[in-house]
Amino acid sequence: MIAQPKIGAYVLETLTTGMYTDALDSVREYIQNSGDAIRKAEKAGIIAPGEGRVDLYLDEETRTLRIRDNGVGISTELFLSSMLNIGMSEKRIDEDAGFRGIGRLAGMAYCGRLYFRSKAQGEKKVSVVSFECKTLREECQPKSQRTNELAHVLGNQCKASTEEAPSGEHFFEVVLEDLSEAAADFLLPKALEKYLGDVAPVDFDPMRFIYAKQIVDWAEKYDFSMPRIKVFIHSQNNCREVFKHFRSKYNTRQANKQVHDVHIKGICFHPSEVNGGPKYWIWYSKSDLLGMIDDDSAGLRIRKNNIALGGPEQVAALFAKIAKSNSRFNGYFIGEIHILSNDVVPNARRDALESNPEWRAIEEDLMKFVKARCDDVRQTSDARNKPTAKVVASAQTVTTDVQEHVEVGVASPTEKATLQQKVKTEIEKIEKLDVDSRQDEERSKLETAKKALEDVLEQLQSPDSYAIGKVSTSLDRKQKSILRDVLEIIRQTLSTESCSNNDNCYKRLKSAIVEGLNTRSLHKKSDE
Amino acid sequence: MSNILLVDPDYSSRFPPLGLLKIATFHKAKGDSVTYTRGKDPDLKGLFWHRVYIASLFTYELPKTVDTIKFYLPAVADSSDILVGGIAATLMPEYIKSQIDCTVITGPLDRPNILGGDSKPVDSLTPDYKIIDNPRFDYRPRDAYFCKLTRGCIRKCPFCAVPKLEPTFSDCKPLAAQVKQAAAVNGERRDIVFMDNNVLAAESFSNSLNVLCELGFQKGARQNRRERIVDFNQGIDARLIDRKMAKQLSKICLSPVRLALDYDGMIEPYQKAIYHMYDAGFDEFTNYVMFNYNDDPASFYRRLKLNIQLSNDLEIRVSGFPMRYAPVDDVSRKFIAPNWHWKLLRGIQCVLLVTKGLVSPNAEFFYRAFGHSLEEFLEIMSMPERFIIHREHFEEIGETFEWKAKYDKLTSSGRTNLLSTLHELNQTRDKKSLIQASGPLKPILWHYYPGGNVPKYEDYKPPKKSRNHSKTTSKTRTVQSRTR
Repeated sequence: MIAQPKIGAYVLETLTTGMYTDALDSVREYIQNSGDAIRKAEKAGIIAPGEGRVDLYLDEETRTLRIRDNGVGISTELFLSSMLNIGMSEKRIDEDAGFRGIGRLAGMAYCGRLYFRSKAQGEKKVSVVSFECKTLREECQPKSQRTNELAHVLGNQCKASTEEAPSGEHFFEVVLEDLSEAAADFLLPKALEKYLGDVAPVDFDPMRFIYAKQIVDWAEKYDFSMPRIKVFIHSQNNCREVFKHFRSKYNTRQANKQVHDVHIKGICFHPSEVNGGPKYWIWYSKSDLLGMIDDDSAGLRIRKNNIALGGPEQVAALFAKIAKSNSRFNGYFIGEIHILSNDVVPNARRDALESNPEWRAIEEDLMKFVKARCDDVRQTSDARNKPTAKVVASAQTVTTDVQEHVEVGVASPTEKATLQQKVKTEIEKIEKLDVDSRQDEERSKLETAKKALEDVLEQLQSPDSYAIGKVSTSLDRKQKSILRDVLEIIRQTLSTESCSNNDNCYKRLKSAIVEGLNTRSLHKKSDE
Repeated sequence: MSNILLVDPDYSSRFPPLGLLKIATFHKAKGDSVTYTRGKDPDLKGLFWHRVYIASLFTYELPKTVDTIKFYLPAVADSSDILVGGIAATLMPEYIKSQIDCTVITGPLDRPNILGGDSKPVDSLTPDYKIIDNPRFDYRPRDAYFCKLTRGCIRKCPFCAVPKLEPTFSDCKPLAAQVKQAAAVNGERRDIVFMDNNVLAAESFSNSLNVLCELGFQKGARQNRRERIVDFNQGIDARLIDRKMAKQLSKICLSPVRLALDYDGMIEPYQKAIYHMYDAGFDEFTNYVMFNYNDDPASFYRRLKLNIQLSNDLEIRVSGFPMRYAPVDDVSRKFIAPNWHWKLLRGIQCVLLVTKGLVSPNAEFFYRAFGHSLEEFLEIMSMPERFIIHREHFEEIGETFEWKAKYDKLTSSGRTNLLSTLHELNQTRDKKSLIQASGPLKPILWHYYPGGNVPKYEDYKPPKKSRNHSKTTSKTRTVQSRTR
C-alpha cells in the first residue's frame, strides 16, 4: 500500500445537506430504516405481522421530533459500530429498503443535537449515542480553515452512553432536538402527514378508497411484496394515523372554467395475466378520463419496497416520450408501479432509479403500458365526442322541422301531440349524454341545441300555434271544425307513406290553404 | 384503525365536555387515533376523518353548533360520519336535523352499541383528561376529577331541563372506582368536581362522603401543600339539608357551598339550610339565583338582598350567582318573562358584566350596584348602559344626574312606558323617527341614543382604569348551564 487514504470532513456536508432536495426526505430515511427493523422483528417472531408501528412525536415547544419504532432494535454489542460507521451498512439489498448506510446522517443537517437510542429484546440496557450537529456542521463547512478527517471530527462530536430500561421493550429511536428553521415542516403535523402519506410504506385508507382491499388481495394472491407499516403522528396529545392519500372520488383540474367529478369506477392491474416472476406490477384507476385529476395523489408513481421513488413526474416523463403533450395524461390516472426486481436500484437520493440495464429494460417494457394508457385517454375522448355531433345534428333537424310547422300552424291537437313528442324525444337524447361532465365546447353545443328544442316546444304549446288561428277571416265554429278535419285528413294521408317529400307537400298544402283563405278574405273585405 | 376528531364548539363554556372525553377513551381502546379541538380549525378540516364527534350544550348555542357541523362536513366521507350529541342535541334533535344531515345521538351514552359495532356503554368509561391538556383550550378547573354519583333528579321543576335529559333518578358507578380509574389513566388530581343534579337525594350519599374522606378529601385536606376542594358544582338541594346532613357534609373539604334560591317559595328552606350549614362550620356560599321566569324584578331584588342580610347577620360570605332563565327549547336566548322588561334584563347584564357574573356579599358594593331599595334597583337598571358600566365616570361629568332629573319626573306608568319604548327602540333601525314620535319621553330618550344613534365606543368614554367594554356579549349564565 502506497499511502492510507483519508476522507475529509467536507464529505459529511455532501452526505447530509447536499443529498436531499426536500428536508422531509431525511424523515423518510428514518422511516425506511424503521420499516426494515420492523420487517426483521416480524420475521424473528418478536412482533406479529401488522403490529409494527412508527410513532412520530412532535414537540413545538422544544422544537423536537422523536421517531420511534417497535422493530428489532440494535444490540448493545453492534450499536456503536452501526451508528458510527458510514456507508458500511450490513443490510441486504434483496431484503431491506435501505442499504447504503448513509441515510441515518440525514437529520444532522437540520438539528442542534441528534440522538439515536435503541434496545434489542431481552437486553437490559438502552444504548444511546448523541451528535453535536451544530458544531459538526461548522467544522464541515468549506470556509472552515482546517481540513480535518471525517472520522476524527465525528468522533469528537459524539457521545455514547447507556440507560436502564425494562427488558421487554425493543425499539429504535431517533431524536432530532433543536430543529432549525429549514426543518419547520418537521413540526407541522399537516405537512408531515402530507409528505408521509405520499412517500411512506403505509396502508391505503379503506374508508376513503374503496379499492384498498382489492389491491392488497391482488398483490397477496400473486405473492407480490407490498410491505406496510403503521405510522402515527402525535402532537399536543392528539394523534393521527397516516394513510396513503388515494380516494374514490376526485375532481378534475379546472379547464375552461369547468370542473368535473371523477369517480374511480374500478381498478386495473398490469400485467393482467401473471406468468412467471414479473419485474414490476401496476395498479391503476378506471374512470371516465374526463381530465387531469386535481389532487396531489394524481398520476402514477414508482415505488420500491412500497416507498415512493420521486413523484408522478417520473412517470409523466415516460408519457412525454410518446409525445410531449401526452405528459399530462399521467394525471388522468391514479396508481402505483411497484418494482419487484432486486436488480433495479434506487439512486442515493431515492428520487429515481439508477439507470442500469435492468431498469432500462423495465422502462422499455413500461412504454407499452404507457402507450396503451395514452390510447385509453384519446379513445375515450373520441367516443365522447362522436355521438355528440350526431345528437346535435338530429336535434337541429327536428327543431327546424317543428319550427316550420309552428309558423304555418298545426292542424289539430293530434298533430300537436305528435310534434311535441318528437321534440321531447330529442331533449331526452341530449340529457342522456350527461351534459355536465362534457368538455366545454361539446357542452355548449349540446346546451344550445337543447335550448332551441325547449324554445320550439314552448311555441308549440301556445294556443296561437293552431293553423285555424292564423286564418284572418272569421269562420264560424262549424267551418272551423270542417277545416280542421280537412287538414288532419291531408296530414294523415300524407304521413302514411314514409317519405320526407310528403311532409314537405303537407306543409306546402297547409300553408297554401291558410294563405288562400286569408287572401280571399282580404278580397271580400275590399269588395265590400 | 381510524382517525377520529372530537370537537367542542367554541361557545363560552368552562367545563370540559365529559362525553367527548369518554368517547376519546372508547376509541383509544379500539386502537384508533384521536384528535381533540375546540371550534372551527381549518387545518383539521383539510384532513380526512373517519368520524367527527361534535358536542352540544346550550340550546341557545345551537346555531353555532350547527355552524360547526357544517364546517366539518367536507372532512368526512359521508354526512352520517358526523355524530352530534350532548345536552342541546338531546333537547332539540329536530332543530339540528332540519338544518343539516348528520347523525344526532340523543340521551346519555348509557346503552351499549350507540357508537356502533359492539360498543360498551360509553357513559361508564373513564374520561381521558389528557387529551384536553393543552393551554389553548383553557378549561377549568384544570387539576380536578370530574365525577357523577347520580343521574337525574327527584324533583321535576318545570323550568329545568334535567327531567327531559335524565328522566329517572339512578346511581352511577361507585365513586371509589371512578376516582381510582381516572387516577390510573390520567394521573392524580387535586380537586374533585361533582356534576350531579341532586346529589343529596342519593341513598348512598352518606357512604359516598366516607369514601371521599378515604380518598383524601376530608376537611382541611391538602395536596402538595395546596388545599383540596370538593365542589358539588350544580348545587345541592336546600330542602334536603338538615342538621345531620350539614354535619356530615362538614367532614369533607367542600368549598364553596352552592345552593339555589330559584323563587320566593324557596326562601324559607334556603335560610334554614344556610343556618344549618353555618352551624356546621361553613362560611362560604355561592348560590344560584334564577330570574326572568315566573318571578318579577321585586322578587329578584328581594332574594339578592337576602344574601346580603345573611352575610351581615352571620358574618359569612353568601355570594349570589344570578341565572337568567331561558326556555329549554330556545335557540336565541332572547326570552323575556311576562313580569320582566328587556331593559331591566339588559341592565342586570351590564352590572354582571363588570362583576363577572357574581354578586358580592359585600353590603357596600351591593347597595351601590343594585340600589338600597327596589325603586333604586329599578332606577339603576333603567339607566343607559354606559351609565351603568361606568357609574363613577358619568356621575362625575354630571350626565347621570341630568338623566335622573328627567327620570324622577316620570310617573310610574311613564317609567313603564320608558321601558317598553326602549325595547322597541332596540328592535328598530330607524331610532330617530321613533324617538321623535315618543312625545314626553323624547328628552330622556336622547340619553340612550345621543343624536338618535346607538352610542359609539367614544361615547362611552371609559375611564383609563376600566378595561371592560360593553360590546362584550352577555356573560350572564342561564339556568341551563347548571344542567351540565
